[in-house]
Amino acid sequence: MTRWRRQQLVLGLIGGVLALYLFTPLAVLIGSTGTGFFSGLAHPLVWPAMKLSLSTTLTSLLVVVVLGTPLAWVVARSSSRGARVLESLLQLPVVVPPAVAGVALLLTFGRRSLLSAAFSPDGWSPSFTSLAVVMAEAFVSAPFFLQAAISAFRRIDANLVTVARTLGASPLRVFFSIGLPLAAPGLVAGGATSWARALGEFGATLMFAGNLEGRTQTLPLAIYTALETDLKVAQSISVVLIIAALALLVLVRLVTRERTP
Amino acid sequence: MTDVVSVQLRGRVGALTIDVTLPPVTRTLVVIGPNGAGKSTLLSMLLGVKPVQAGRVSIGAEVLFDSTTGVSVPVEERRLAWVPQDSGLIPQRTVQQNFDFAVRCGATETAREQRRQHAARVIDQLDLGRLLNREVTTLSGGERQRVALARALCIGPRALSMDEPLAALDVTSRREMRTFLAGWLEQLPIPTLIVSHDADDARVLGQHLAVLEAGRLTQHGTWSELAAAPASNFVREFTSAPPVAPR
Amino acid sequence: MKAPLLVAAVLLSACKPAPEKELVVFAASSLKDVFGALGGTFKQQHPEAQVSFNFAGTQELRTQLEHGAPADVFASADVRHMADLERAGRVQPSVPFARNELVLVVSPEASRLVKRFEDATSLERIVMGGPDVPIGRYTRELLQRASMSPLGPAFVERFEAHVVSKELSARQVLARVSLGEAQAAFVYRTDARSVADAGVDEVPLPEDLRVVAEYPIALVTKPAHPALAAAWVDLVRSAEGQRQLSSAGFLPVSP
Repeated sequence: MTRWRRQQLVLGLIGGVLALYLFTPLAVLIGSTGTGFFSGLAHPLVWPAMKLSLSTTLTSLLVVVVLGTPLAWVVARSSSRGARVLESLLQLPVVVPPAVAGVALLLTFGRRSLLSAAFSPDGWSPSFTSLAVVMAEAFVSAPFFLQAAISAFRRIDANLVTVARTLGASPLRVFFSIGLPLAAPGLVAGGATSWARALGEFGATLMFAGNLEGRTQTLPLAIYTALETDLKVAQSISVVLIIAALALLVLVRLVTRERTP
Repeated sequence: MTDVVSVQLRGRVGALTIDVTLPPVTRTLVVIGPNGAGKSTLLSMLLGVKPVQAGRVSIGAEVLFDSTTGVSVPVEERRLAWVPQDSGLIPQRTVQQNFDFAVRCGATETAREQRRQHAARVIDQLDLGRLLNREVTTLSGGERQRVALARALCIGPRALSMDEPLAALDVTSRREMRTFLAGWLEQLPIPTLIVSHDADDARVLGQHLAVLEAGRLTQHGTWSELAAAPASNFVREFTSAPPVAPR
Repeated sequence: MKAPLLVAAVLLSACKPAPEKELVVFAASSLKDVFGALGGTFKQQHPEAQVSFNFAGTQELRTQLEHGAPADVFASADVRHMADLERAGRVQPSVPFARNELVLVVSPEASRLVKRFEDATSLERIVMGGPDVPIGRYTRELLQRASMSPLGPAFVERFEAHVVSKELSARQVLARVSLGEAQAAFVYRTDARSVADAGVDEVPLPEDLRVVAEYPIALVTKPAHPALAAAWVDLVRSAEGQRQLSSAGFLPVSP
């Protein structure tokens, strides 16, 4: 063996330790669930949580995409200092722990918040409703979409936009005819990543929305609740979430590879 | 008889201050200058894309920008055609779709109908019919520039501006395109402003040359006037380069 | 050169058993305040020892113990989880050390609506414990009794229809009410006392709905520090321990 290959092998082995550490727990989880997967899914906890997770994450994804795409476009196209500060601040929810997000949402939209008092004298709050779940999911997942969307919009050649304007295109036409189609792969990838994050949302949901099957108990909360009663059920739900995450990962790879040579 | 474009601009972009009064543009003016002199920036200011502090831009009788009266016609309404160096065609679209886009950008149905007619004529004149269904990324550099030029002209512009129109081409197609452009511009009934750092392009395309150095106009005149009395080292070197291609 | 050594040291110290004098106590979340105070007393009696607590829902501690979490003593808020652990051979035979009564608490905002348990039908946001959380089980037991009582099953049905969340420990149930998110919940009397200052009111219950939780304590099967662990159990059951428990609102073990 040459010196080059020998040293390369050493580096590979060192790095392999981390790869092994990352994959082993997931492999053990899937392997030990085995045929118990389907009986675990039959548990009454699972189906309502699955329905709720799907409906709330799709709603939050819709909200994030509809509001986030124009925001990302404006931030990406602006060269002002304010836009750059805003872009950094938009990343804050990524690094803020979910528990902090939960406390913040509770203080802002909870029963004793000023906002709640403004809605009605008795205090109205989304807490303990499916809306609270959607809010928690949107809060933690939006930055992932925004980040991807901003960088996708930024990759669009600035000359294209200028040419379109000299041709007489209005800002809306530039957005719809140039921005959206050219950034589409990046937007889809960002949507998928953000969706995956929303599906896994746990901390903020537990704190802000509570834990009630059919209304606020999403799949991750169901895992946590089942962990103390029936490990098999927790495992089965976990495997479902792993499959969903894997599918989204593949989707991201496919759409981002398509257009980049 | 074409309109006269008159340009007087002052503004700051990054570390560079541009302060220029161009000679009146009647037929074709080529702005030359070393890299970083502010040639492309000047063009963006003219188009209305980059902020301008003071100055005046007019075409014929119409004022597009005047800092003393506060007039500033938005980019979309200036009807100044612009062809960037890399042609600015929408990728992953066909040539036809690129023309359709320009047509759709017309503000009114009349404007759109007019653009449709302009497009048909210019496609015919530039012999682009056979390219209509090609995706723009599959075109050669020369073809891309022709399509971009044709698309820019279908808005019925009052003036044409091109940023380094030949820089992205290889040597052979560059010579072809240069000759073609020179002939084409001669017949074009609107004033044209071209930015170039290439001596051959400047000599062949420009009846009149303006020299921009560090944001200021240092000299202007015909090629032979510049060659006879260069005002700076740059102009001396620029005009003394041996011609690669005869006209 | 130093960095790898440091990493190795950290890894080794993580693998090493805890220092000789560290007593690890797993306890139900409702014991948090009183056990914390007893820790101070214990430290006076055993200056060489250090007490670490793990407070959580009993069901969660049970799961942790089943998966081999390192503890010396386990204090549970109900007998069922303890019995299961005894059967599984995870803990030594347990002894009861305290009892705790279930009470209904209402948030300051809701206290004008509910003066008696019968008024509880006007509540819209009630929280309780999850099905395996002791406070959840006791709440269900109380509601079952209520449905047999003159209040009747319809009352209980209406009450349950307004449950908005099932929390995973008694303290989380309490927090929902003291934060004003929920209007009411059944909690332990000791917990109700700890938030009385925050304006959380206790609503008197009919005598026939009295539910009392029994707290057992046990040494785990192979404690790391058997002597200290036994000393902790002794302290909790001693006159001093019982005095502190009773001043926190716990009831003495039934004779």
